[in-house]
Amino acid sequence: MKENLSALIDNELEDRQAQQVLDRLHADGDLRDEFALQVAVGDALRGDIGLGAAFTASVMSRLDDEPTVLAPVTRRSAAAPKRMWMSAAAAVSGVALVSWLGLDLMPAGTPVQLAASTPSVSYTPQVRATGANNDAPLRAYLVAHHGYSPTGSMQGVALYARGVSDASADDRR
Amino acid sequence: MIFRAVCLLAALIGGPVAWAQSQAEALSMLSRAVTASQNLSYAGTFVYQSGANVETSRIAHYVDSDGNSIERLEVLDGSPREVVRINDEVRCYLPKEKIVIEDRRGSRKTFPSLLPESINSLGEFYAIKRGASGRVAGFETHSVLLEPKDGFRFGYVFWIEAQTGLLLKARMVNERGEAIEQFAFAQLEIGLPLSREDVRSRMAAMSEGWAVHSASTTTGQNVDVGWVASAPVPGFRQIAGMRRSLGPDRPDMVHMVFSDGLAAISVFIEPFRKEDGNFIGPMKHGAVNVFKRRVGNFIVTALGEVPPHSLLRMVEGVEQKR
Repeated sequence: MKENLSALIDNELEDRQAQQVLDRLHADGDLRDEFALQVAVGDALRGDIGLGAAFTASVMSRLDDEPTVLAPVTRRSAAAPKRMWMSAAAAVSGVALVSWLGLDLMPAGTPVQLAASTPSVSYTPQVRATGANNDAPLRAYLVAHHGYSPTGSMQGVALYARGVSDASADDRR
Repeated sequence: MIFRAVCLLAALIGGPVAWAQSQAEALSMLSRAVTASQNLSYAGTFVYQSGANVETSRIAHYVDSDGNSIERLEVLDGSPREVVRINDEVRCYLPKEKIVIEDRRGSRKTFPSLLPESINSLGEFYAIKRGASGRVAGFETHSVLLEPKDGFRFGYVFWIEAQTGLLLKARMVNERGEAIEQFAFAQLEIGLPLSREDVRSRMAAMSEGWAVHSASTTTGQNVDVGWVASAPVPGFRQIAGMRRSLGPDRPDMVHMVFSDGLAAISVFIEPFRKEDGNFIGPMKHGAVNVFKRRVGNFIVTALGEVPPHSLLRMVEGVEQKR
């Protein structure tokens, strides 16, 4: 199935096969993790997202903020590298997987983090809300989105509590 | 023997009938909640919870004699923030960041009222039934449960006030029934004689000089935007498509909205700029999931109160019309 996933991302599948993979993705959480990882890594290696010095620095500083958990961590090993970027996926799976699993840990507007292998950093199930510096565009998106959200017609402006919610508030208290 | 046969028959017919009644009742309660939220004046305090983040806000809704609906929300925890809605115009004041976010949806009349019309098709994607009654913020409420029929959407529980029909508590749950997000009134007064002053912005005066993020629509709300989502998420149909202005020196952004009648997914498409940086992949803002992807020279962002894989599927199919 993982090979089909790569083929899907590379747009090499027939429509019917692609549909099967999508259906499977829908049912299988592990496969979705793998998919998100492959998409992000693929984008990075194709240069769709540049990994400049500033990016690396920001990732490293973000990693400094992440709590280190000493308890054993289950980490999925990536499949045997079939392509250049799959082997890179293996190298970065530590951090990227952490990001995917630990979405709640991520500040709003923070990308999937790709970095060199960093075995000491791990996912912790404890949810830690953090603030974000660069989430104004995302907030504007959220506000635009809520204007069309059907639940808003029952909840009114209360729904906007989402968009303006200040996740860093807990840290300061 | 005959008695048993009759009982069996009654059970066979009675089961679905009771279920259909429960669904019809639940749907009419939801319709009532929509009307109540638009027509009633009220003021109270509610608690918003998402993950470990909990925030208390004061909220007031005032309907003036001309039928204008004005609402004000003030966050009481952390940094002070305010949201004021006048009919379909929303302004969010974020003093810490010195930002005002504006959104104007256009006239309410040009856009179909969202829930009442789509409410009957909700049953296709959710199992809808009445839940238990109970108290919320001191009021008697009836609850409505919406369980998703597939994994592309979350479940909901709504607690609706028995007398007025006002929604007092809303919870979004994942496939394990765990709360992802909850809005709940802690204290509330319904039908208060409020005045315009009660819902006037307290921050508008101090917001001079703040950065204004406004992406006002430059087209109608259902126009051909030149983009399609070719792999739609089951049950989600497009309910709006428009262009929004990003400022005088930038091309317009495309905004498409898809909904199953309750949950919504927005897709934003804007030209890629170097300074947009490396924000690619899945993200999260509270209970709202986000997925960004680069398509050619564009950045496509899908977001909504749906599971991450629903967004993935939506984003995968987004392409420019040829």
